[in-house]
Amino acid sequence: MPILTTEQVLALAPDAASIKAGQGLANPGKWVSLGRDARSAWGECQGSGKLPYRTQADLSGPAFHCSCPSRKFPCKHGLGLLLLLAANPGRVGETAAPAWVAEWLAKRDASAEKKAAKGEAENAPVDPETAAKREADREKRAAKREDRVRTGLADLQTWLGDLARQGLAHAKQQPAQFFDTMAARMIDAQAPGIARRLREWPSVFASGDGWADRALAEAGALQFLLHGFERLETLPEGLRASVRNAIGWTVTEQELAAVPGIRDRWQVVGQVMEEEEKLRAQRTWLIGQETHRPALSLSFAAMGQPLDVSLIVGTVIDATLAFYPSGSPLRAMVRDRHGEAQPLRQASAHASFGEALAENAELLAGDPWLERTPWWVSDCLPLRRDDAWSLRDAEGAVVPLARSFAQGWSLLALSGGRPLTVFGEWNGQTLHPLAVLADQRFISLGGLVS
Amino acid sequence: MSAWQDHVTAALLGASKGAPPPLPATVEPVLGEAAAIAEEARFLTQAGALALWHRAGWQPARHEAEILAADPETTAPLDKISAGHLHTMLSGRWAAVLSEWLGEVVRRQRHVPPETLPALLDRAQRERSLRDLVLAAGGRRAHWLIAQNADWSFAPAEVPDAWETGSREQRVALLRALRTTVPAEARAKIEAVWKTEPADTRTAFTAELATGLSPEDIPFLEAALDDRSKETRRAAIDLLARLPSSPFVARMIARATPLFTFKKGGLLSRTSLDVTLPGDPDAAATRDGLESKAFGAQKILGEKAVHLVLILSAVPLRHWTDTFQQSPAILLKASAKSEFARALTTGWTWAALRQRDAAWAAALLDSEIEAHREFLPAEPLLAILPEAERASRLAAQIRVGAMKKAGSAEWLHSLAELTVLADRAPASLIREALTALRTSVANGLPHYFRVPAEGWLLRLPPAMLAEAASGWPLDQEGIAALVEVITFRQDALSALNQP
Repeated sequence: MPILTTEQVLALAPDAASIKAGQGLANPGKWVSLGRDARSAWGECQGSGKLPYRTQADLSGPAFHCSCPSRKFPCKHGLGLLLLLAANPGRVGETAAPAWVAEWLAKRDASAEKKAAKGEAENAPVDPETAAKREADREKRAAKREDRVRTGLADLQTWLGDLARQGLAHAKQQPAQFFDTMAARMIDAQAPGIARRLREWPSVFASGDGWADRALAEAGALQFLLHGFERLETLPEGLRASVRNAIGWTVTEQELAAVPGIRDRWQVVGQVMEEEEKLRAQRTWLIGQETHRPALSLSFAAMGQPLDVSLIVGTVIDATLAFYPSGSPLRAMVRDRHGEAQPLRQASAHASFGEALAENAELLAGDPWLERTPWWVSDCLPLRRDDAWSLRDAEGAVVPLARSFAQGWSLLALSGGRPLTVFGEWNGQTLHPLAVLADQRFISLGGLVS
Repeated sequence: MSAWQDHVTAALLGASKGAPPPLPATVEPVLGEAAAIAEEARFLTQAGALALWHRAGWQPARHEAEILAADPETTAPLDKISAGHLHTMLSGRWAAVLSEWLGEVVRRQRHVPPETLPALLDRAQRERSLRDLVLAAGGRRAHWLIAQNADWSFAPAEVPDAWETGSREQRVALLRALRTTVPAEARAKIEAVWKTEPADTRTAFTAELATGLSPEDIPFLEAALDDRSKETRRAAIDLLARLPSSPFVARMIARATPLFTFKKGGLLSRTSLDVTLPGDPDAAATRDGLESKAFGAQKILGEKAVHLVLILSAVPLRHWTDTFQQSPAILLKASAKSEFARALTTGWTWAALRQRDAAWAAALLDSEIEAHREFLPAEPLLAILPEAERASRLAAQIRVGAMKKAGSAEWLHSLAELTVLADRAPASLIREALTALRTSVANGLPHYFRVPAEGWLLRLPPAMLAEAASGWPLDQEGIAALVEVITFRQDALSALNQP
């Protein structure tokens, strides 16, 4: 049975308050009963109510269920249960699952089957008349949206033209509202991808040395996007999908279901959570052990709502992934999983920055609007020069680390002057390390106490 | 200037100020004909193409300098569970267990995961007492890392010039170390800088002579009685009072002797020790600390009574038993009728603490006369008894219910004692204390009790932790947190025991 480490459990917590509450419950005194078997762990926790809360975790997921009224997921009881298990497995004895646990697990299995069946049913052929009507409706909706986007993008072209004419120095003087207004216009025009990029502008202008370079590159990328949209029909299929993704079209589940899956042993190598406008966005990076393909699993949730907790950094899962259509397919959804997650000990990594940069160029060729690309490079040495961190590869090439990367000293300590394998996100200028593999030990840098 | 720089310059000023700059020959053909596009769009398209071109073709710099690797570790790494415990402590929970746990890591010849070193070193930077432990538990990697960060340069290497340039804290530490090996040298160091140091430094340095104190220090301490600073003079007096051969003690004996008369009655109850208060201090007495307002403004004792306490605190206790040929218990009993009984007990208690006199301490503990604790050092009398006696007295206190009066002075003192004793006391005593504590917190844990109780539980012998964690009234406010400390400590220590 896979027992998660303390760090891995804490990474599942929806917020800091849950961590604190969960740690408070990681204490056998708070539990009326505790137990585990090969697949799951459970416990009854005395809360403020008369009956204790029944908390259970399917460790193969992981998935959680608790009878408490909390809307957080996992709730503090679920976290406390797994923290307790991580801190001292001996306190959670192995025994047969009680009925309430067995029932839940059975229900989970049944609903997974039902979902699979439903998926098949949806893909089942319908009579031609219904099919034609559905298709017509869909096309009508699509055309309507396309019109709105076209009008919105025409406005953006005018705005961008003004900006170019008046100069970046002038744009830098504008209040944040200047960009927010345009971002709101893009939301109305159903182009949320562009809206999101526009909201980043004030921070680009405020980013210090080299801001003009970054602002111009971003303006150029938007111009490229407008250009691409204008001649969408002439573009190759992949690039067309990339343009649509960057503007903000989403791929429906049915469309994704039609994509052939890729089965591999996927290494879960990094996870980042970012807060945007009342929304939490979680990026989880995977690398195929056989295919060497990078994949990005995204999960979005409103504040206080659960993010996907099924991908644990530092594990390898045997799974089939469906990649969203793109010129450089990176974003993917885990379609099926086969068997339990295993600990990650070996990396399928590039041998040099040169290799990673070549892959980066290829990915950009397929999708010029990629904001970041994944790097997984072996034999890296952390360096500290003039108060700034960088990494050197086996060939002596040096790349700078992001200023926002706060774990430089931990990274240096992990290396001890010896090369390590580093996973990170490359934004075209700096690398932000997310995890390290040292002496067959996977260490997520996001979970470190600084 | 590069084409990209030209574009950035043009973009800053605005595209309307001139024609767009030319593109490099390699990029130009890719964009194709764009005559139909507006000038601004054309400019931005060029910029976008160039930016992408740069991004796709980004070339790393090179760096060849030699990097010195850390020595390989000679100890074993921790397992995942122990690493998780460290993570928990570093994130602020049960941080009080950290120092003991680190000690155990060192003892078991393990080392902490390197990624935790920065957080540990930062903590050691703030908490001096953790430094040696972190350095030892950090293995070779810790030393390698420290060499690269000046903030963590508290490693022992810096000691040699600490005396000249160090902080007062560092200089005091240096003195303390010197006093244990070559006490005269440490004193010479102080004398050399005496005239130029400020009063608080002189006081701190003087107090350090307590380590390795000997009659050789007397001339220096006697001279310090003429110091400008009252605090420095007091520090010197405190040390002189522990040196029976000092002229200071002889002067105090001379002042004390005429004040006492012992009258032996036929029955013990008629035996009495009469005392008269000292007269107005002359210049010599004032120099020896018998000043007005020696304890600041207070209304507990009059000035003469205060002087009596001060005199008694400096007189060797043997003087009384020798002079009157009576045991401490009888002398105490005889003094009970005096109107200055509490002042006498206060002075004697102070003397017993200074002279580490166990016989007097035992008699004072048995006596019913209470000292004025306000004037005394914080150390309890129990602390100077031999361990076995201390334990049995404590057990007796617990049995008679001293722990029941939560918050009373006895109760807090018993607890302080328990804390000192926790790792040495017999299991039966600890069991009694645990039972008493469980009973006394049956109605919830008083807030002022949390810290001392936790301090005590943190020092219980590891073998007793499982027992100590059970039987608490968990539904009472604050108790669960207390039990968590024990449970966590037990888990963390026993995880290190795993092979």
